[in-house]
Amino acid sequence: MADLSQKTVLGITVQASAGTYNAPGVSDCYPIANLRPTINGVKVTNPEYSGTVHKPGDAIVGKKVSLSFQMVVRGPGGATPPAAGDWIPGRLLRAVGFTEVVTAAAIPAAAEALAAADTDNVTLGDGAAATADLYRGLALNLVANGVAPKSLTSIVAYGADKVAQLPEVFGAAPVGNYQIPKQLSYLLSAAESTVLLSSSFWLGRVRYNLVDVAVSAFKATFTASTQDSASYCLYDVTLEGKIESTADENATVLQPAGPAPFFKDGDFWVDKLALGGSSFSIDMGVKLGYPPNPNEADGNDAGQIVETTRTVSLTLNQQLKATKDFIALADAQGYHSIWAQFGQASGNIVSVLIPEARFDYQSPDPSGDFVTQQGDMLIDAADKAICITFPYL
Amino acid sequence: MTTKAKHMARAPQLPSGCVDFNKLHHAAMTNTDPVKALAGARIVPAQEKPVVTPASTKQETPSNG
Repeated sequence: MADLSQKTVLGITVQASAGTYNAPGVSDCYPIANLRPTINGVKVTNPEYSGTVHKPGDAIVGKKVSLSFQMVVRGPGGATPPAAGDWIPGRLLRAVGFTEVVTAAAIPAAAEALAAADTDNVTLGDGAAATADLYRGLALNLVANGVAPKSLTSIVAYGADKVAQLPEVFGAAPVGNYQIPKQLSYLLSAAESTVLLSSSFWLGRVRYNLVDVAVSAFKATFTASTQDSASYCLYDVTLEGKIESTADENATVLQPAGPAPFFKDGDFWVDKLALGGSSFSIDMGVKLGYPPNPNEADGNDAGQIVETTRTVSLTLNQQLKATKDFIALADAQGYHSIWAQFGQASGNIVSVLIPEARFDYQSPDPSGDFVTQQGDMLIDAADKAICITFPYL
Repeated sequence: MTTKAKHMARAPQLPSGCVDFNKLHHAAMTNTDPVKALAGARIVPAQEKPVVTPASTKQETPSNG
């Protein structure tokens, strides 16, 4: 019997230290798609003369392992956020450089009245701290502003005066109570990731164990689902590591991760304007490096992310100049927010916020049924520059 | 066991790269030293350094003075 591709399983754990394999068990496995492992020899061309036109083959010096796959964007679900470190997709996000921020209890414990509000900002009350930046990137529930999750918004900026800037503009200033709900948040850290992963993947009846696994590429794509075309929102991930061992072992049967939220019936705001469009993506622009070390079997220490260049790509419906002048925005090179939120079930709502990004020029594209405009937004900031949050209602 | 060791034994050890936000919020509300609160709320990488926020690329109007 040949091995079945459908019996492909990936498990991920966080290592205690570099070089120490932390074997993933059944509870560390999570559904993925389109797994593409590659094991390539590290080669060097033999420069020696051979006395003939026929040169010797390249020397095989070592091996390089990479693992590309897709993971569906969904929240952890359940009634409350999982304990720190437990959620498997979160381990990947931590390895990219996100900080996992667990807000296990709503703040304040009971919703309280807004101290003040304008159409695009609110002033929090006594139950909120007067600490600048503290709540930036977190989801905020404006309780009287519709039925949740419609009442959820996000905090683009927060000042010591307790004013929370919002990524959307309301028709009238919000009234009533607010609460920062329970949530599991991934906020990009200014510091480099110190998380190294161990990974095992099963292909049918063979298990491959990888140690010192680091992320070499990470992209999140959010594609709108319509009556014509539905798509999952996906993380595209590439990992690199060292083969720790292999074994003949049957793939485990995965527990389904549950329904995924689709990018519709939610919010998509660019520069504080709700816009139509087919998709946006966030590319972390990761560069992975290997510090040379002849003491190691591979000749190097574990891979480290040495830099990232973070870019957002947008495909929007073309907008009237009177609605939003994108050329003028690119000319001005100011900072603008992007916010998307979708999903309906508590713990499975996805809120994605980029508080500050600059517009590159957007190119019009009439090649499809509708005129679209495509272009990038560039991110300069590091700390909390990309915020992915899963609120609980 | 030393006092410091006892304190370390009691302190919650979160996985690297994780933060207990309710603890941070409580520290902010009670004016606790945020650096100490942060140390209890997560493991701070030793090499963590302050990061320079990029200056805005917005062009300021030149002064005529």
